[in-house]
Amino acid sequence: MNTFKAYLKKEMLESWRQYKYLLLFIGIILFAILDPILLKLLPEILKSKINGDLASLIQIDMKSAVQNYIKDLNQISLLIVLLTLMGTVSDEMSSQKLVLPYSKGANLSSVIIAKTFHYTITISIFIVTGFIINYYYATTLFSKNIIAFKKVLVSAALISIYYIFVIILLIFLSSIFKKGVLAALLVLMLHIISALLVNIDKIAKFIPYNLISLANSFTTENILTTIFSVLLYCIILSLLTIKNYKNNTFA
Amino acid sequence: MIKVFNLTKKYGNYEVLKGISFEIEKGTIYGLLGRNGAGKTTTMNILTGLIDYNRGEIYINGKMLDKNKRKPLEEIGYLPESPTFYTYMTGSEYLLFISKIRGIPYKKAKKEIDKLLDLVKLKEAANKKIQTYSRGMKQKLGLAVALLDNPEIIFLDEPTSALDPESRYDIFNQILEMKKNGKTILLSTHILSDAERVCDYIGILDKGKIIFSGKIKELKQKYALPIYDIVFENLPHNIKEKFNNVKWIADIKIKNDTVSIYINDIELAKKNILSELSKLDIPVISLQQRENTLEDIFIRLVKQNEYI
Repeated sequence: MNTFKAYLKKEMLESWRQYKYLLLFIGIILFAILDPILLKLLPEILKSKINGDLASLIQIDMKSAVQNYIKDLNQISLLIVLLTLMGTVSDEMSSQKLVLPYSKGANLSSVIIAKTFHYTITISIFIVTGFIINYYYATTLFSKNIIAFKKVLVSAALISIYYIFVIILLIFLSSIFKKGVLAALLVLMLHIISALLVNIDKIAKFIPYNLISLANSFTTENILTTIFSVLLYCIILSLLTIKNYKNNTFA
Repeated sequence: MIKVFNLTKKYGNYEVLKGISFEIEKGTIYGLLGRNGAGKTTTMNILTGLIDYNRGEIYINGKMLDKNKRKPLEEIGYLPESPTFYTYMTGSEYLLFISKIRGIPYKKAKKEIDKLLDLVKLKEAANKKIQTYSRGMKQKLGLAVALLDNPEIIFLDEPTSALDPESRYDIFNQILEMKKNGKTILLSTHILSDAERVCDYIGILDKGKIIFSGKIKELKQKYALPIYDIVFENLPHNIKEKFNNVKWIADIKIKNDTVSIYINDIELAKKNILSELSKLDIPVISLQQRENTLEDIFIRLVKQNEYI
């Protein structure tokens, strides 16, 4: 428990001093504000550039404004999160920063648990906050096709679970390869592959990417299978990470 | 205090440590000497529990160091050769972070950290970020980390390599201070003068084997050979070949304009040195006899080991 507490505080200090919180804020929250505003202004911007009534062609409502935010979370935000967090485990392993804490009794399992806990909670808070802000702007700026706040919160929870899976996968791959860039690239590849696999109906509900599809359609039908599958993957990956971390850190 | 028996470590098929054994008494400084790559850091990393070993037994304070249990390691402080830190922290924050890992209460930790920073002369830089520290300052901070929570045993891996003379002086003074306070110290180094300066006992590690373990005095008694340093007016050619068959000469080394003749029978040497030199027919400027240094002995032992 001492190691967990010490590393949790250390991760918070590191995220603050190395501007990780700021980068995550930009990557997640800024789009929540900008997306609805830009969508609102888009027809006006296009009108000034192209002749004709474009407003009648581009029909943007509240639902599509939130969906646009989900699309951004699934693309640019994911990239920012991966680039920000890719060195969290691999840097410490490759630069031997754990030698002194370990020689003073640090428990390696607690180090991994503290890192995972910190970043999954942080990202979840940012995502839920992002959705709340996005909901506020989307409902203020668009009056048609309004979705219930409860449904948006469910989408926020589903996206958070997907991000938790992505962070755990990133940490797992970092513990194997000791190279953050490689781990981030692999996560990105798996993200793209699972976006394709989710189109196969028979296996879709076991694919983590299905969480994004469910969030995007604001539906709660058959979500439990996907949630439980992803949580199971998270547990398995975390256990494997702890094992790898112990074997690879000082090897 | 520390007993190591038949310690073996392999990386794949390469055997880094080939069954080394040594003992370190309480309150003494044991120097582990060896060339780069001799296995010193591997030995340190095994003794601090950082890496596993293949065979052998290690006892720390009478407790056997089990591969999976780290209990005996609680009494140890370790300073690696190039300590790495979270450089966005200040020196004092880093020490506080380590004391949290140790479970030391905040107030007690604060007091101890102040004392340690004072001891390693880092008090003024305590609130500066570690990224602004010089190599010597980082080494001192590493030493403070090793000393945190008052461990009985300290492992120091090449603590003075690449340090400026002033930082080396400071680190040595701190090592001697630790000894005064009853600490048991294992010091690895390839700088032999460092070992000669502070160590009570030494072990010479070469090619994964301990080729000598004991007091420096014993080493000198056993292996010290008298040396004649001779300066000629002109450096003689082929002196090694010319003296090749002289039985009382163990080795010849030429450095700059000085020829050092290592003697294995001083009585014969005393009688014959002048006649042998006169055969060269080159004027001699000076002839001096001296005892060989630890460095001379080390080189000779390592060389002997190469032929085994």
